[in-house]
Amino acid sequence: MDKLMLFIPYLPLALAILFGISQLLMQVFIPAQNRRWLTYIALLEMSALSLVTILAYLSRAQIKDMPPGMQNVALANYQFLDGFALFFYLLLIAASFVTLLISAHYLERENMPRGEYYSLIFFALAGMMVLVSAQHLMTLFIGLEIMSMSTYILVGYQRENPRSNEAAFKYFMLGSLASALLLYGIALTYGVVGSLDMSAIQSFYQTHPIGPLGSMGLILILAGLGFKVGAVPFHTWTPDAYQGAPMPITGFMATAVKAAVFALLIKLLGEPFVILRAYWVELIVLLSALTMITGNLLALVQTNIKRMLAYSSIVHTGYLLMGVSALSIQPDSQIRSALLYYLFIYVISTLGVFVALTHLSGRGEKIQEIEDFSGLATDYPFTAAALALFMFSFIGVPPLGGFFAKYFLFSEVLRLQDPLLQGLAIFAILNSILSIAYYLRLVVTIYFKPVNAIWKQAESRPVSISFLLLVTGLITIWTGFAPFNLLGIIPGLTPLINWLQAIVV
Amino acid sequence: MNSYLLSLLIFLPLLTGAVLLTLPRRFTAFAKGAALVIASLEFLLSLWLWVQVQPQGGYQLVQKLSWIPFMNINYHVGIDGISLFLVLLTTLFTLLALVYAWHQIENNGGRFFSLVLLLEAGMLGTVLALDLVVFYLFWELMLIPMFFMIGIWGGARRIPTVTKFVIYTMSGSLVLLISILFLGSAYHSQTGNWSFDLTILTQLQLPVSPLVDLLFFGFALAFLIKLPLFPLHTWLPDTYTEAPPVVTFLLAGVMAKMGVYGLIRITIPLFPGAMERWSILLSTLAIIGIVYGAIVALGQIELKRLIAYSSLSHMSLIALGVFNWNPTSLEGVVYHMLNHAVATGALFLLIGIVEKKYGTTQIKELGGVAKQAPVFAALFLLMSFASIGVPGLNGFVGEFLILLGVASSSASLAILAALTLILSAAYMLWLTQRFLFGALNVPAGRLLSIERLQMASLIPLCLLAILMGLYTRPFMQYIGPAVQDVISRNQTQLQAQAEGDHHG
Repeated sequence: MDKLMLFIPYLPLALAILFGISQLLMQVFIPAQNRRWLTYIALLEMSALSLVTILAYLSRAQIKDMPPGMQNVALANYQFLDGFALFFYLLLIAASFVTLLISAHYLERENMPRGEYYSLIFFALAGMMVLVSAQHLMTLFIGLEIMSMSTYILVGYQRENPRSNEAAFKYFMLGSLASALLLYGIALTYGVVGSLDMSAIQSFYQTHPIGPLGSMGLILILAGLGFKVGAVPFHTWTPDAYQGAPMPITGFMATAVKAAVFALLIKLLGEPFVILRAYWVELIVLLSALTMITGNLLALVQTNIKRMLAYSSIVHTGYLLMGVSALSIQPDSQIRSALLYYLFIYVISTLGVFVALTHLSGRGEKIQEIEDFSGLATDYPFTAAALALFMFSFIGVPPLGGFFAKYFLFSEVLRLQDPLLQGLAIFAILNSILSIAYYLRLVVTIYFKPVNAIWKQAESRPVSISFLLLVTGLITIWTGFAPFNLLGIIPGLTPLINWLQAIVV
Repeated sequence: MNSYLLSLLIFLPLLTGAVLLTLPRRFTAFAKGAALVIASLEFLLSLWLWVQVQPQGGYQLVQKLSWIPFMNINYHVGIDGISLFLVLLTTLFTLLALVYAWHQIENNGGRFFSLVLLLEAGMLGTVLALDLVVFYLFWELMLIPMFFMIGIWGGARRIPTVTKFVIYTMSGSLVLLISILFLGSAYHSQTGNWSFDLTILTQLQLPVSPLVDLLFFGFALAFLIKLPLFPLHTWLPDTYTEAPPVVTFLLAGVMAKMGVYGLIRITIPLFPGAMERWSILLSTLAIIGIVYGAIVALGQIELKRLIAYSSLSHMSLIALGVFNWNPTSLEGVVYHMLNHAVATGALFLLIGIVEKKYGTTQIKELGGVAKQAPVFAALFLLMSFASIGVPGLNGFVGEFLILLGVASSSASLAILAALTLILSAAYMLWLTQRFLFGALNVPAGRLLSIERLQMASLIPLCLLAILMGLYTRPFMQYIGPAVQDVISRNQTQLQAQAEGDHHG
């Protein structure tokens, strides 16, 4: 019985894979006219997954009390469901849930098969779960590959669309290159340390100098992860992949995939490699500055909304990298919780944007140019208001979530009183000023330009889209006001932030 | 200890505005009515506030609630003799704007009215906040309704104009944000705790260093843009011209004053030393603004742009008063903010009537209006005189006090600043001569008449212009002690700093 208990922490992962397979099988056995059930089942499975995750987290205490031998049985050296992983599990499940729900609408509209699509999302989720809870560089790599493979296919899911094919091919080529770099880096690290266990690496570097081989390994690992998060100069695949992918998948890549890789980056640089900070801090600062400015300048000139959002996601990567570089000075819970909070808000508001765009883009995603959205507010006031809200949140207008995300991140970075980071923070604020221009342009187009004729044949909005817009919009507002504990009745976000600070130790 | 009066004042328009905004279009009449009722209530509340506040220094009716405990951010509001009159100005102007706009804003008026309420909430919050984060929040909240009001209801070139306006203002805001965070982190490194409370941060001893000077400008930039100080003024003529007259009324009348208020309440108390070091440069810029605005106003061929540049010139004089920072000039600044709001605001409303009735605001297409509309001409003339600073009207008192204050610290600056008296008389009198008098020259078949509701919004302004010129006591008895208090606190801090430097 005890031995069975040991596997409870791995239940979410196992279930995600199981659900993926079951979707694939059900697709075969459920007759075509009843395929709608696949969606309902997938949504139910996703909800079950979040419950199981919480249960699994609660049961982890029992593993800690066990003798070391038993712990090994429980694979605790390879991956472990700690608070940090729990946060990401829940965030990723939420993002996958939203993706599923908008995909249902999307697939129906585009008349595309569901089963393998849903199962690929489950597989990608499983990969990301492995990734964010990895304690070992090997499990990390396996997780990354499961995630990437599923995403490659999802990007190219519109087989008939050449753009989708191009996107998938480009993403696959550069993604494989990144994986190869990462793997090579891991191999070199193994050559130096003699172990791939993260805690072993950490303790090894505490007593040993890094040496040329080790620094080579570190740089290759960073380059590989730089590719995956889309940091400049490794970003070139991002706009093409984002543009060619089906709209819900673009959202999935911009949120879940990015968050998962960032989890990894925070963990790797905060734990095993933190002692080598002198070797990577300037590199990350440079990457961060480059990423912000390049993303901003290129976002300014985009006319396609997917490409604009792709570059905007690159800019946010830059801000997040600034937080990551602050880990070098003080890898404590506060800076980490600020990073997690930023990711949370970024994921929620980006999802909201893609929910709206999935609905608006219309059959065959014909509407992608920013100019197409002119005058949207007249016939779609609710969707337009939601989009404006998310744009203002991205700019960092209080009292929206994006403001407090920036506020916490910047204040934590400045608190360290490090001249390099202070300079980077000032640079980041100057970049935020640049970013006003393109976020504002969308709002201006939606609200102030004459109405585009396509909006006159107003298409009714599915309930699921309205629901998601409402939820993401309210969260974006609530996370802004949230720290506010309204008369002691409505709990603020303070509990969440306190919890974040507690779990990421 | 805690008083909910100020919070009521801020959140009543905020919540009702937000709710009214979500109403569908068929509730337009209801939304407009409700907004007007709320604005009237707000005005009555602020009058009640005038009775409640004692004429003495320091913050009153303070409310402090914990908002974000782990960063020690508090919802902290309070009022003193300086903010009292800005509160009154805001509530009065909001009410007048709604009365004026009742028949003017035809397209989707309910939305417009709710946005005005949101703007009011933003302005009141900005004036009353005593915590930098709360201040920043309301500061930004002002911008969003303004953005939509200009963008939706503005003139033909509204899109480039509003984009320029927002980018200008938000750039200042983001620089302000990072400066707030820098200051907070400086406090954190000295004490180990976060604080963003204005009353606490003003006691922070910062060393004299280039970084502190940079921080000073970071804190000043947003306010100098809003003010605006030369050479940050380029958004102003376009925005004042393209915005609907009611919006320009609020923009020039109240929002520009928030820049001055920010300097008095936040920037200078936080950095008294840096202010002393940079006052020559800033005063020079203000003088340039005074002369430049006036000369450019002389050359304008369009009514709105002319008043916009004259507003730039007058606001630069106010800024000069702030930079000189002595009790007399500061009293003059606070008083002149109200005067400038009344005179310039009324002029923009009057020009709005011209634009509506004649369909043009080009000066060469208009002339001898007094023959056709004597009442309009009388009002326009009165407000022009108030704006010039003719003795007996309100503008004189403020300008006089500012010039007196400036003269006490630097005679040459005062002489240069006094140019404003001559120049403003030049362009305003020349304007009235061309526009109001002379041969009748108006677009054919059009008649200038003031509608009843527009009259209702103009009369209080005229009364104020006369009353505030003749009887200043009800205002000065509040402004005086508050200004004394601000200045003496500043002196104490400067002394402490000097001692600290001496010991160091």
